[in-house]
Amino acid sequence: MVSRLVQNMKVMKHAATFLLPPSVVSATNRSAQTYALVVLNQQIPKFTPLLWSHAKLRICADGGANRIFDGVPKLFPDQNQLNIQHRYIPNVIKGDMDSIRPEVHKFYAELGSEIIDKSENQDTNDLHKCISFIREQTPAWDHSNLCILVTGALGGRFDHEAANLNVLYVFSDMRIVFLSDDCQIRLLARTHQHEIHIQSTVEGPHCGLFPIGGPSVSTTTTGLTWDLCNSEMRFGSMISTSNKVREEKVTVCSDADLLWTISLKTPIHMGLTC
Amino acid sequence: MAPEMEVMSHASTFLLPHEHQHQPDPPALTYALIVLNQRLPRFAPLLWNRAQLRVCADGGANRVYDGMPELFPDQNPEEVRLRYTPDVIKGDLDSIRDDVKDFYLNLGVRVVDESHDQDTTDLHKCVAYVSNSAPVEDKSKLCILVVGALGGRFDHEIGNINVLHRFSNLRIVLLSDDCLIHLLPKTHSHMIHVQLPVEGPHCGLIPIGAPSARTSTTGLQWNLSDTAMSFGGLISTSNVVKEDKITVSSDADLIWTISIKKPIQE
Repeated sequence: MVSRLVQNMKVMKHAATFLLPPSVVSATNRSAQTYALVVLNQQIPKFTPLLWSHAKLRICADGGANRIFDGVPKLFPDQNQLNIQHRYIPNVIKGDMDSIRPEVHKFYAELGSEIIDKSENQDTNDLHKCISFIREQTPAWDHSNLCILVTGALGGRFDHEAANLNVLYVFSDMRIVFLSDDCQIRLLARTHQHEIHIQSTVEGPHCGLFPIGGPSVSTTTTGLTWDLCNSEMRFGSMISTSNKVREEKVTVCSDADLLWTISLKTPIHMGLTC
Repeated sequence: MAPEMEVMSHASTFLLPHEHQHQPDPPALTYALIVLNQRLPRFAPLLWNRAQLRVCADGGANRVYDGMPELFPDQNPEEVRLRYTPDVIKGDLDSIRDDVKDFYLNLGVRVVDESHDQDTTDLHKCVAYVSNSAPVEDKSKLCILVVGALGGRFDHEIGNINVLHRFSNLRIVLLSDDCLIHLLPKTHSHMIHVQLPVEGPHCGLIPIGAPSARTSTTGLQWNLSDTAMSFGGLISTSNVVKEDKITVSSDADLIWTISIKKPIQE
């Protein structure tokens, strides 16, 4: 059954080039991805300025604005803190505004951030609203080449984390990557075979594949230390944690949506002066 | 779902300061504590004092050695370390510091090297050990508290959540400074006695392993009524406890999570 699926399924390629300095990415002439950045309300990873430099659209979800305002200057301790704050202005700040500090709100509003403060339905969380917003507000972009980078989705309250993971499943046709200082996470949708091109200077070797939300009857991988071969995975039994990437290209083919996670090699060199 | 399903009761009485312990119902549990390799939550001493068996998984020993004195900054670190000495240290021992290992070996702590077994996680090994060694005949009266299982590397966190599913017949609670989680196995209907001084109001029910066709609850702000839940669809997050008794019945294993109020006083 899996081989018939393989013949019919398109290949989706993944590469964490957003973790490489911009100069390296343009020099290698890779097919251009358009990035958007969403900053949620947790401590920002140390390489956030690198993500910012790659992104065409930068959105803070409510208290995520506090995190940029406080956190980015600390990443450039030798530079004038106010200058740094002026260089990292989000395009949009969205949410119910109950976490953003008044002085942060005022600072960014005066410098041109679009503040979107509507009391909308309570059934969707901040991340969901930001993803919907990006999708709706960028009709001119090629969404098959759009990749949304998200910081602050993990940690804190477990139900918040679960709600954020669920957003990956709700928007399973989009490229969304969660980033923390330790790791990145993305959904590998069952609709495609997947090729992950490992950027070994910045990521690996620890990785994992998880059948969150529902079991996998058959998953097959290549390029891992413990490859799966038509293997069943489910909670309560085997799931692939503490695996390792063995080759520069990892392939994954599954009957289920899987979460892929890979560790990051820190510190990530940003190649930025500020 | 058979309405005759046996009811399993839950109560986070282990989070109550000692003088508030008075719950006759549910029946008294025997606690064990497992410490994994993350920063200790601020209420770790409270859990330690409740537990009859304390196990460190590898680098969890570093966390106890460094972290317990930090939670008692006015006290002599050596005295604190002697008060908070684990019974066993277990795992592949590639994270425990040499000075920490020597300190505990000199105190007679059992240090068990399991680096030969790469098929199971540190938490899995520790849960299996506790289940076999805990001083309680009836496993339904054993409750295993775990700190350091949430946060950190995501694949470790997911692996730890899988341990809850693999040992679904045991009570295992994962705790962090912000929240706790435990499994509500589909084999039972559940009664959760919320300890309002120390937990809530934020809560959630998460079908992490498989979807639920029908879940029903009482006592929540947004109750479920034969409601389907799945990833990609509805899952219950940012819910709120409204009563001090919550009931949950489901056709699927669910993860229950509830926030922990700050601060917990010793």
